[in-house]
Amino acid sequence: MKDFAGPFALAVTGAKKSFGKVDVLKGLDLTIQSGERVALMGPSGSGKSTLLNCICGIEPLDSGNIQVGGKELSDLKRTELEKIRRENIGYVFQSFHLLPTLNAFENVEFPAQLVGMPRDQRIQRVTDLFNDVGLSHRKDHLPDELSGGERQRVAIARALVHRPRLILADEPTGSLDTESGGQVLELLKSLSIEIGVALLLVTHDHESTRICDRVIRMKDGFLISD
Amino acid sequence: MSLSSRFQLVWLLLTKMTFRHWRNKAGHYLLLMVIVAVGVGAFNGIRQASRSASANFGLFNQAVSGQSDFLIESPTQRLLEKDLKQLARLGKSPDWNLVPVVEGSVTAVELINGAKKQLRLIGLDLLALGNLPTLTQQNLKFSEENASWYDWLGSDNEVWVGQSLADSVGVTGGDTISFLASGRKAKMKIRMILDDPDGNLPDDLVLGDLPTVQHLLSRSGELNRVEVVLTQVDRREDKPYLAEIEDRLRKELPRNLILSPTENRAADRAAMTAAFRLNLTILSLIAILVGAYLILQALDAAVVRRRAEIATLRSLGVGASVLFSTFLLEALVLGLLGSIAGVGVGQVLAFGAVGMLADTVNALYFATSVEALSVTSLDVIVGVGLGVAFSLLAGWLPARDATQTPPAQILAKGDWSPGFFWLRKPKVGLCLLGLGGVALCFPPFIMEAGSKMPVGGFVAAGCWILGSALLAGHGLVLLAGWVRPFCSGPVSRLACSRLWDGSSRHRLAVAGLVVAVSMVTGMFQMIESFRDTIEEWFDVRFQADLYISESGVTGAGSINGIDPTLLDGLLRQPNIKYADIMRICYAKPARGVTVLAGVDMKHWSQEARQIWLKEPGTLQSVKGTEPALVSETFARRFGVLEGGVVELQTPSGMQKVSPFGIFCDYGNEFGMAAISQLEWIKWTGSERAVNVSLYLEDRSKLKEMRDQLRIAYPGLDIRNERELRDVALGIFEQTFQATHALSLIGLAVAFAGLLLGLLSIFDESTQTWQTLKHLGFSTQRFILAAGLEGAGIGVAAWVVGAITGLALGWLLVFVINVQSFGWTLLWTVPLANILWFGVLLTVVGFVSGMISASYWNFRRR
Amino acid sequence: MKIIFGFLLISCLNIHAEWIEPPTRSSKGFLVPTADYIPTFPQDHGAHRGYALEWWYWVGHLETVNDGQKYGFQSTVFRVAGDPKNSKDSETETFGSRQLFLAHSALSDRSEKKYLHHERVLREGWQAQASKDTLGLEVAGIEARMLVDGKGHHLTTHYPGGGKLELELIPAKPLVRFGERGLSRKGDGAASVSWYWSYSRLKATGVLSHNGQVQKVRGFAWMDHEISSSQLGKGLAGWDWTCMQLDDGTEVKAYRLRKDDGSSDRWSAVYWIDAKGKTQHVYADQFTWGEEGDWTSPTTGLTYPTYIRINADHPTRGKQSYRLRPIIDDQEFYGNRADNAYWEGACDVISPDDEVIGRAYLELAGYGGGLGARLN
Repeated sequence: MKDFAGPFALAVTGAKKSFGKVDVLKGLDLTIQSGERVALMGPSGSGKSTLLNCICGIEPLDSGNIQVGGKELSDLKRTELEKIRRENIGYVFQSFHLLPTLNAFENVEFPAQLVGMPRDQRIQRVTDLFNDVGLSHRKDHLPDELSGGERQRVAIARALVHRPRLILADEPTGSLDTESGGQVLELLKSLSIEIGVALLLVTHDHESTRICDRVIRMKDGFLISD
Repeated sequence: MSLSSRFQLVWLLLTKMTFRHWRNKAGHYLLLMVIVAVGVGAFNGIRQASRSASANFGLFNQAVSGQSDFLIESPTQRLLEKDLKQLARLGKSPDWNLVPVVEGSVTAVELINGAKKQLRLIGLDLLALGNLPTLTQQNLKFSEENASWYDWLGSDNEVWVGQSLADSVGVTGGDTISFLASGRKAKMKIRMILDDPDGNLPDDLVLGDLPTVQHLLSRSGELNRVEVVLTQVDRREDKPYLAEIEDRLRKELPRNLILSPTENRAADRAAMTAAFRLNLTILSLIAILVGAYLILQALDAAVVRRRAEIATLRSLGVGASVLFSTFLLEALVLGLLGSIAGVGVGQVLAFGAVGMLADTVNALYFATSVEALSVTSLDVIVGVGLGVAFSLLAGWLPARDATQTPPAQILAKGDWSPGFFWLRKPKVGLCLLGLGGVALCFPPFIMEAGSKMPVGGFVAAGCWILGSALLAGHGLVLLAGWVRPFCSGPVSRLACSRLWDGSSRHRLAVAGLVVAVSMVTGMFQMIESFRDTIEEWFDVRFQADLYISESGVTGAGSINGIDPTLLDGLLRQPNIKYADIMRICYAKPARGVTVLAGVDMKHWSQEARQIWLKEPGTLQSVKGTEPALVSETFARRFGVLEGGVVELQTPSGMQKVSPFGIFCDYGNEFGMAAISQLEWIKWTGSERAVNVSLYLEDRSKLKEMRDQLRIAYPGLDIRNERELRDVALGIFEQTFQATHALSLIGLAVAFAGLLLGLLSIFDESTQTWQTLKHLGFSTQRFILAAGLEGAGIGVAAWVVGAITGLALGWLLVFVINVQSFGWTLLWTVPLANILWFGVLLTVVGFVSGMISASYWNFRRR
Repeated sequence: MKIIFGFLLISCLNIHAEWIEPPTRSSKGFLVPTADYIPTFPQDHGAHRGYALEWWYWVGHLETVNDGQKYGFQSTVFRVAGDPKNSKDSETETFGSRQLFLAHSALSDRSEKKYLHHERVLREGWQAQASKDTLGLEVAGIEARMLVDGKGHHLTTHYPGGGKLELELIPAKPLVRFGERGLSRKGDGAASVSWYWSYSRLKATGVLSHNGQVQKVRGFAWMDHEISSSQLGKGLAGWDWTCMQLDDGTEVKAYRLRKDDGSSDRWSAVYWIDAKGKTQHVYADQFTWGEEGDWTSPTTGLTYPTYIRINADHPTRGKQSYRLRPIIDDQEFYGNRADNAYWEGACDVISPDDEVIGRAYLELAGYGGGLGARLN
């Protein structure tokens, strides 16, 4: 279905970004290969979120390059960036951001609909994912009716449903208790292995890094260890 | 993304999100649709009602004789039987039927419930009706099967009525109805109730044999018109055939008569009321505008509430254009559903308004009777089209706002408020105010019947209202800034600071109210100015002791006049020092129609008091023309403010009048030219007076004489100055009923909008309230602060709206009225009313604030 | 068209010329025509307002001078008086209430096979007047007056579509008065008599505007003027009537008065007018009116026996036979009220040898029912 153009799921080179007088990214390089799981840690204000926003194409770099699935973001128009977000990236938020009017099943189905996955395939895929995340019995519930852990599992299923190249998980366990957090992490790991998707996990929590192949740290706009 | 998948996506968002939100807030969206429905309804209702009220243009006989194709009329709308004899030649062709009609308004009195009822008495040649092609279809029977033709011809008083009239006045065949006509009281006998299962016959139509009706109206030898009905009804739409027929008719038409296709008359009549209907239409558009504004507000609130969701969609890669389309479509669906309901609401409002409008049309323009209200497909298209168009316009800004929502990653990180930048920039508003000023220089647009439409005035009004609405937010901030130093308590300080901050929502709420307030204030002034002017005019103009006119007839177009012999008798009464007799008829200038009056010129120019625009003698009549005193409206319509000649078609041919003085008159918008009594009689061939003003020798006997005359002449209205004034002001009030009603609808919609606006303000400030709660701010205090915020919005809207309203009042009085009606009014500013309005707005704002805060609070729980 | 074989034999039981003295007034109070009345003209061409019913009737065959196109025409004005006791006077002459007029005009275009007809019913007044003193009719589209020299009539008839026929009609023979002692009897009712005066041969010249063409025409016409107060006797349903102008310079008028039961009244008659204007006649026992075919109207659904054979015993010339053949089948006259419909059309007269020996007009009235009641 998708062309696997580049060797890397994500390649960031010389990324610089500043807001006013504050330099947030100061020439950062990062490469993640397909199927690789990378944890990104760093104190508040170190530029983690800015980096994620730049990778999604929401914020442009001042200089440097970002390639997602072999496509150079700085060359793309707004609509093409939206397409990259739709097709190549799955995002898992700390506060889930499920769509309140859709039930769990519909929430997961939604990105697949966005990329135009045929109906039969879509239903099968969503059903499989619900089995994988262990929520088949809860799929008709609205987000309001789910616990935090359940919601995040739905969000993970949503991030994976359209088979993206790259999953960006921004503190996915930040709002969860330890047990739920543990389950969510396991799920992220097993599913990313299963699909062979790259994972960039932003976290404060050392425990979370255990599911990752590599841990990188950010400080003052640089990667200080990789 | 391809178009089809984009459409699918929009559809997905609409069904899975938008409509589910609607379901969750059904009440809210229902209210919104109701508002749109009221807006569209007000517009459509007025449209339908004014159509229905003036639709049949006085051709009441057509309910019986069927549609006619041409009309033969005299320029004064009054034919004589000798004219008919001249037409006999024309009547020989089998290709058409000539149908003479006499009609008049009469007042039925002494009905069972003691009530009175205005009736149309129509006289047709009942025997010749049998020749008409449509009559056989109508299947109206004027007699029992076994009756002979002569049984029902030539009777003194026998008439026919439809079942609806019989029901409404409670009569059956054989009963008599007492009525007043031409100043006489008489009786008519119901020969038969016409069987009219389809209800074609209006409930005020009384039908009689032509000579019978002439007798009943005491108008022997007179007719109103002759209608021409084609024999080949199936060729009615055949233009070349109609042209050929018209040509043949014209060849034999006597020179003093006018032939016109019936549809022209309809068009003439429509043109006569065009200005009036246009004013109403523009007023009724306000309701739609306010409705659209409320959609804007509501959708904007929806964007605010759904901000997080939109952000998530953005994160998932939903494009801006898809979001834009979805919100626009939401506006469209709202507009569509509301508009469809609005067509129904319009029907209901039309029911209420139609009587009002018919009365107005009757009083000011021509005799009309209400036709059954009907919704045409055009009504549906126009109503729904307008509703949808305005809704789309209203949806535009919120939809754009939605597209500017960033993805969730950003939204989650902190405060983000887009707002409407243009509400913060005074430039656009100031430009609009300036543009309005420029528009004032436009000349009026001249419409078909010669009436003028003040396009520039309307454009200026629109610009000023919009401009001030845009500037209203600045007014709010300014006012809040002034008040702020005086606010020391936590509640007032909070409320004031929020107003001073002037968020887009606050600005929007004020703007909406300003539109309504300025319109209403402007209307107040116009109506007050009108009333004061008329009162002033009355004080000066009406100095006689008694005023005499035909009873019961108020309309300009349905006058029978006073029976001449009756008047002779009346004028022979002792104690009459002087009688000012007035005769009027229509006359045809090159375009439209005007009124020609025959008066005592010496009395009018030297003795009677008038408000003179140009004193008699200040203008020089042109030699070889008839010197005339003309009304201001006449002078403006025909461009003779500085003197000149106007040609009028009369039964005696074209005649020229030339003004030597101009007086102010508020009787009608067609204008009036008064010439000497003798010439008038010569020109028109009639002696019938319309009213008489009596000056008494001994004024102490005024009351006694009035009472005595009333007993002697039950068919005449005999009034003193006070009573006449009451009647005239009554007509005046009637005329402005529709205006009042529309202002009220506009205001009600604006208040509903204020409520919705405040709700969305609180929705947007959720975090602030939450924080305040944590700080121990009680619910009562919260509600009070909300009330103050609402009151602040009310005050700001009042201040800006009243200033704009004053400008609008000036515009209405000095530009729009002068241009469209041709009369100058005294400008009255009803200060007390405006102040009271301010108090009302403040209170309503306060209460709205509290209500919406309580509701918001209740929902949060 | 269905041909009806076998002639209907007219019942002929009574001896003719029985004298029944008419009353001076009818039951409703109208004057009744008196016997031995010698009319004076032009006054008696005018209206006789005191009598209930009166008509002026012109029919004829015309051809255009230029190209010989053939036309038949009918112009009839009826006057019906209101009840002398119950009808009311109007205040105005423009809309009278005592007299009713009907104008029936028809044109049969033989070459185009088209029949134009038109009816107007009007009260006396601005659109319908009849002079008392001379021939002076102005009723809707029909105008008739005496020529200036008093020797003939001027007749103008307007047709639908803007057409018009203007004729000068000069009598070629003196006026004929029908019936015994100047009274034509139409039934056994004492008052069922009329003054029945005819010009059996009028030389017609004039102008016809028709189909946008104005053409000179000439031909011969017949004029009836009949005055009565009770046209049909009791029990009569209608009549069949014809006037024939034969090429030999004579005319034949024949009518049968049909009873409600379909039989013929004994006062049915045939008149012969010789070249000098002398008349001879026989009553019902001396002639038969046979129906040889009929025509059904697609408009009114009425069936008219339009193919006629008349066999009669001439008092001096013995057996005579005339067959009538319509020049167009559809010559049905109807107005807004379908029950007034009748058939009135131009016909050829055919001899027993199948030769055309003259022209005729045939009238078949009362086939829609109710005519008797209206004319009693």
